[in-house]
Amino acid sequence: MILEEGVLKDGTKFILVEKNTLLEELKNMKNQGYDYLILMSAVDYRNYREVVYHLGSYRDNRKLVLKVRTEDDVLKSSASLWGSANWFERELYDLMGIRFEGHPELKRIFLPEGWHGHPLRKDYDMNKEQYVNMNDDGTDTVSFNPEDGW
Amino acid sequence: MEEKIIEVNFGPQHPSTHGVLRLKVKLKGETVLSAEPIIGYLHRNAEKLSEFNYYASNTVFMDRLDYVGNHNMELGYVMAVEKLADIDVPERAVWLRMLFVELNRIASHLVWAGTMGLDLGMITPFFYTFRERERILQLFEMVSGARLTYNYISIGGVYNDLPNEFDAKFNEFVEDFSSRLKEIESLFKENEVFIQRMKGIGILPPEVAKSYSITGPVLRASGVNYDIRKVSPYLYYDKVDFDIPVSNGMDNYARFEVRFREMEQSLRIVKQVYGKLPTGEYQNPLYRKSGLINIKGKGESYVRTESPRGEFGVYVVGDGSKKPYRVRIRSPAFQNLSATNEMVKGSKIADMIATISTLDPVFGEVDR
Amino acid sequence: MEYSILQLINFILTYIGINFSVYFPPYGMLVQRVIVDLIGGLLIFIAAALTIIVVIYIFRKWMADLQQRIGPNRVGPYGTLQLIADALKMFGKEDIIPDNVDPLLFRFAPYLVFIPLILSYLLIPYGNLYHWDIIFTNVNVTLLLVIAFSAIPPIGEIIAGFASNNKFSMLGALRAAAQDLSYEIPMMISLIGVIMLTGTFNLNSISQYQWHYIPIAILEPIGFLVFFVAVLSKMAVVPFDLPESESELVSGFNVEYSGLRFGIFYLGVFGSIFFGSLFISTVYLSGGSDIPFIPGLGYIWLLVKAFIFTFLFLTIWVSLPRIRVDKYMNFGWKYLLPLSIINILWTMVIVLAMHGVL
Repeated sequence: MILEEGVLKDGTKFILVEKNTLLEELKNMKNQGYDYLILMSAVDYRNYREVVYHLGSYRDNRKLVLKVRTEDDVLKSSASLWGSANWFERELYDLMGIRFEGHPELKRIFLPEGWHGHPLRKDYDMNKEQYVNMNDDGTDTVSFNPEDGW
Repeated sequence: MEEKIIEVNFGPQHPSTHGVLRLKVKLKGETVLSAEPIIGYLHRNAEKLSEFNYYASNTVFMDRLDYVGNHNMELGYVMAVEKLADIDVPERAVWLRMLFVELNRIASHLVWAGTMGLDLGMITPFFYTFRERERILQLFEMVSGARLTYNYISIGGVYNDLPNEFDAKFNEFVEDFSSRLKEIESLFKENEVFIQRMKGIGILPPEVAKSYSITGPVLRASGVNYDIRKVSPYLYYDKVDFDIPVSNGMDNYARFEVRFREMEQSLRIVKQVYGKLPTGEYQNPLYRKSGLINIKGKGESYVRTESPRGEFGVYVVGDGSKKPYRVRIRSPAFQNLSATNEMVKGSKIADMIATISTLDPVFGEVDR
Repeated sequence: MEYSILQLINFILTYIGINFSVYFPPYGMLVQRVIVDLIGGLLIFIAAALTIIVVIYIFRKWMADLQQRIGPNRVGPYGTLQLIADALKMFGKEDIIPDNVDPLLFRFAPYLVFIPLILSYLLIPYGNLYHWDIIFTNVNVTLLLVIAFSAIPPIGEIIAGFASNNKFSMLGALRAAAQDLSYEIPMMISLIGVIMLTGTFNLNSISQYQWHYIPIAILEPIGFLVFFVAVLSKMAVVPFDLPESESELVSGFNVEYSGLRFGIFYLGVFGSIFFGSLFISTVYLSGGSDIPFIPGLGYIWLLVKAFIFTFLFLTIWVSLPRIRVDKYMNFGWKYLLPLSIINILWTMVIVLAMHGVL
């Protein structure tokens, strides 16, 4: 369900869709020829997070921006539509804290497992330093104590 | 007899992971059952850092993304900001940008060719490619004063005009580069072992490539004719003649072919661009030096560019202040790498290394 | 009248007054013989070590030349002392032995690679220099001994790989084992052709035979080719450096080694390159038996041939990519082995023709 339509500053058409119909809209767009998921990004507007899908086509120059807003940070995963969505969603989960339901393996991609907070959130505390170390079995540990890691 | 499955960590300290890639590989003898790329060892969160700086300061971070194709990284960001803040760029600056972006593409592919040779155990071509790259770096050094992080393309134009000595050096480079390129290519191509190591290895069917949002030479080697420079021309790419090399091989050898043909095309573009350079301003006078701090933008913009590794773009969200509200980087190497497992499972260890090297990941860009 | 180098040593010893054989015969003769042999062994050890250093220097300069670099040029004239500096650095390095290795085997393995190599230098007939034959070992089975000694280093590599308790070195050791099997059999079978022709296992007789008749490389081109490739893979350098394969297995079987022990492996590679060159020139190209037109310089002639082969091996090293392990095995078993058997059949024809049967 499309809530809003318009044109972005760079001249691209954008649509804002209802959160619950996200997956159907994406599928719909994919069937319409937007078979290329250029970029998935998320913007933190403090009250809500906006996940932005840049869709393109491998045939021509068409481009569309699909936006969806979420307040509870839970969205449906589109990993079944695009293989690339797998890593995009892991990245957004890692840095923005958006959980994608139905993702095959939703874990952090850049930061070590167990990192506190999601750095791209506007409320992330940049002054708190976290120290990473490695267990004997090769998994990362994170702590606020400087002596536990580096 | 039952064969034991062993799990090996390739990297992050490994001679042929092009930086800090770590692969968790399940091996059955010499055969790779699955390879899971683990990244993030070079993560600096350039996206977050960019939110704390003026628009113009962020080009420095972009330099540190793809450190062998820096001009392309700067260009993607700068063009997005220019769209956002409605900044005009003088004609000469656009041509200059194109000149350096294409030279950088050649330099980047040369680094790739050399390191790919190293991954296959060929030491010698590396020095030949770096000899040529050196000459390009000298051109970059002339205009920017730096050899690695140029910070040359700035908002509203470029930082510097061409110095007087540039012309001689550039002509010297252009004159014999195509013959040197043939020499380098023959080091690989006329080698039977090399062909055996590359042909039919690391198959990436176009459907899989499309599903994984793969772009750049890797996609074109899978038979998809898709180049942002042609599909959605930016700068003045519609005003120069060049072809998009495509190969239907889908394998490592096709990726090798496509990149070498691409260097030839880039050389073609570079020659045309240098001939068409108009006189005039190299930077919008409004945004020279201190004017750069006053850039403000509101809205969202994303400009697609073709970096040496594929589609690069920066999604910039502005809230009307002097600093961007959100910067999101589309990294082609990140996407190309995500298909690793699809390409290497079932192959031998040696082929896995070769396949990853033909994907040409640069970890400054993958980990951001 | 020709003398062997050992007789020369004996002569010198007697001249300076060391001669046990006159004091208490018959044991004194034995003691004298042992002393002479020990001095000869020491000489060959020094010569081999020096040659390895020369080969490494040549390799670095030659590789640099092929790669449009300058190569070592800082220490000593034309960088000739660079290797000494490197060796001192190797000595000064800490000898790290990781926690979970098998300490005894881990320490022992480098010597298992290096000592048989040095010993096999003793077996080569170095030809004549004026009236002196530089031959240290002149028994009837020198060829067999060379093969026996050359079979030991791969075992050392396998032990090194397994004792390191590292997955990369284990993979390297497995590759070393697989590679060992696939080159040694064709190598030996191609040597059988040589033995059939010459009717002896004595390397000196083999090289003399070629001097009197014709180099075997001309008679048996297929055998020469198979042997050349087998020697190349015996050295384990690119394109056959599968046990090491730096870009795949980091450094293969010697991944955990450092300092002097790593240095021994490193010397072993170059030592085996030069030994391979000596061996192939002795068995197939008449070795140091004599030189045409300038009699009495067979030793120099052998060195010339050996260095030509060394240059060839080094050039192959720097210009080829590494072959894939399964393709290498295919190559060894499906091409080299049948070719070496064809070579035997061909040799049979030659031998029969020589005896007038055909």
